[in-house]
Order: sequence, then structure tokens, then C-alpha cells
Amino acid sequence: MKEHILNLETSAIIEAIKAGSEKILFQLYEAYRNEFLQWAVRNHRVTEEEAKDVFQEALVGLYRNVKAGKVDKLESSIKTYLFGIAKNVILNVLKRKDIETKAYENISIEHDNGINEKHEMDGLTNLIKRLYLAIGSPCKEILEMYYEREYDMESIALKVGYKNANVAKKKKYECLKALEERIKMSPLAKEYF
Amino acid sequence: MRESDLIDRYLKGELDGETITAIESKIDSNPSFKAKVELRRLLIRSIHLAYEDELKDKLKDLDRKIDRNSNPIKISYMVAASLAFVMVTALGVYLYQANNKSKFEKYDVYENGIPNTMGTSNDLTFTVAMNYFKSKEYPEALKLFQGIIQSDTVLYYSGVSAYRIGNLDRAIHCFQSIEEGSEYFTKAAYRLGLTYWKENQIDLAIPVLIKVTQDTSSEYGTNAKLILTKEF
Repeated sequence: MKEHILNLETSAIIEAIKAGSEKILFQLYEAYRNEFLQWAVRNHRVTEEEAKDVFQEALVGLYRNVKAGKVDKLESSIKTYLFGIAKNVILNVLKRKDIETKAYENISIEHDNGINEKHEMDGLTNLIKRLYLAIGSPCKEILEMYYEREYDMESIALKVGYKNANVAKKKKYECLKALEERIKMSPLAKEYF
Repeated sequence: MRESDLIDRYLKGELDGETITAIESKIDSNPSFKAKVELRRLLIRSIHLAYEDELKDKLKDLDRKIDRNSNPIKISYMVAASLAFVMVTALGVYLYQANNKSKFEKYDVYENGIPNTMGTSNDLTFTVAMNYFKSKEYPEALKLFQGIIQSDTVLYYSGVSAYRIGNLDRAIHCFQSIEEGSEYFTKAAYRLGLTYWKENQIDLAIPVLIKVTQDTSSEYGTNAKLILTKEF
């Protein structure tokens, strides 16, 4: 499996991830996991479990950057890029550990409206995420296929078993409307929408 | 093109310059349109985040599989220990549940469902689900309820179905989603309290049941008071 990934061109790997292949992400994970864990545990103050978490986060970060078109013209290998993300994640983990330790030593009672606002937006995003996950089948699948995997309506109709793209489009519209109504009904969202 | 589709295409970057300028000017001048675009932007972001969570869970599963394959001996000990633990726990849970069964049944207010209506295909699915509910075929009812738009009615009956088949996490999620002001609020809150109690989460059950006691006109209020005074 490792050889299989190493034989692929970086651009081919990126295209596969962009097209929504989870399999390629899993192959990358398997191919480079052990090497990363050994390096992380040896060179940083992290446990193996923390290193695993970091590497999983890095894979998700790679997926996010590929989808956002940030790695279209990658000049290094995919492994170098992946380890680069992982290194950043690990540094953030270490920084967070330090901050958590120091937080109890330097307690500030000043209010920061910027932080409060961010906290509220995070709360709103979490609420929307929960309502989206609760909307059930087939709405969740349709919205995921449209917004995350970027399928066209013909493909969605085929996957869900609808007669044609128009039926899928109508269903997507109904799902969105229902979900947005539920979001607007929530007290937290009322002041925004 | 529908306004909803236009917003999608704008956020996906699929529109030409002229249309983008027109949309952005509408965003600046029309607060209601601006709110719609913002809501859709947040919704899309939430879908991305939900997918990333799922992806991370899948990577965790893969990791466990890799560990299992590389440590078969260690794992077989772990499996044996886990099995023993599961059996002991299951026996404990069985004895606990047998002891408490009649208690929970006593407070599980009878729910006979609502009359059938005919109309759109969504209504038709609801009717079939409700028929399953009435004939106490709760797994089938729950499966169908999950496939239709989640109104308070659907959430409530999904919750009751989930509770009856022991899917307590699902039941909690459904009852929690019904907000104050809904006609189902009191009975959903009562059943939420009952479900927390069944899960032995008394600290969560108490505040929910106290709220239900404020409704003195229904048997839910009376039962909530009885649970609080006699059972906890």
C-alpha cells in the first residue's frame, strides 16, 4: 500500500482528494503514520496518543487545504507538505499546553468583547452543525453531497435514487428551507437572522 | 433562477463579475438579503466542519485497526479482558434494569399517537410511521420518522419510539430539540427527565422535571412531582 502511494504523482494525489476520495487519505495515513509517530515522540514533548491525534488533525488539514485550492501548485512532495502541517499542529498543541499551565498563574478579569463575539459565533456554528446532523436522511446526505463533495444534481439524483436532477434539486431546496427555518427558530440565532 | 440557488452560486464563486456586483450591492442595501447570505455561509461552514469531524473519526477507526493488526497477542488479552468486563457489566445492568423496570413503566405515560391525515408524500410517510408507532413496532416507526422533515411532532414521536427500544441517546437528542413554546414541550421535557433518570443521570433529570412540575394541569406535572419526591 505504501509503494502504491509513493508511486503516485503529487498532482494525482491532490486531484483524487479534490474529487472526494477518502481512500487516498486513508492510504496516506497508513503510509506515513509510523514514521511521524516516531519522529514526534522522539523530538517533542508529546505522548504517542497525542502524536496520533496530531497526525489525524494534519490529514484533515490537508483535506481542507486541498478543497480550498491552497495546494494546487504544490512544489514539494505530499509527504513533506503533510509533515509540515503536522509540525504546525504539534507546535500549537505545545503552545496550548504552556498557555493552560500559565492560565492559572495569570488570571485576568478584563472583559474582551472580541473574545465574547467569537465565542458566540462558535456557539452558533455548533448549533447549526447539530441541527444539520439531526435533520436525518436523505437531507443530510443530499446537503453533504452538494456542499461538501460538490456533486452535480444528476449525480445526487443517481445516488439517492431520484428520477432526475430536477427532483433532486427540489428536494435539496426543501431540505435547506426546513433546516434554515429550524435554525431561525432557535433563540441563539434569532438576533442574527 | 431561485434566490436560494443564486446565493449558493455566489458563495461557491460560480457567478460572473456583473452578477457578483449586483449581489454585493443588494447585500449592502438589503439587510434581510444580507442575513440570508450570512445564514447560508454559516450553514455551509457547519456542513464542512461536520464532515471534517466524521473524517477524523474514520481516521481514528483506521488507527485502531492498524494497532490491532500490529499487536495481535496484546489485543487478544485485551479482547478477553474486555469480554469479561462486558459480561460482568451486562449482568449488573440486567439486574439493575430488572429491579427498576416496573418503576420506569409506572411513570411512562401512555401515548396512543395521533390520527392519520393524507396529503403530500411527506404526510404519507408520516402516516405509515404513525401506524407502526400505534402498533408498537417502534424500530420501523423510528426509521421512517427519521426520513421526514423534523417537525416537533416528528421529533416527539421519534423520541418516544427511541425510548421504547432503548436507544436513549437518540431519545434525549429528540426531546432536547423541542423548544419551549411548542405544544409538545411539557411532555417532551417530562420524557427527557425520565430518560435521564433511566440513564442514571439524576443531576440532569432533576432540573428538567422541576420545570415540568410547573404545569399543574397535566398528568406530566403530577408525575414529575411524584418522581422528584418519591424516587430521588
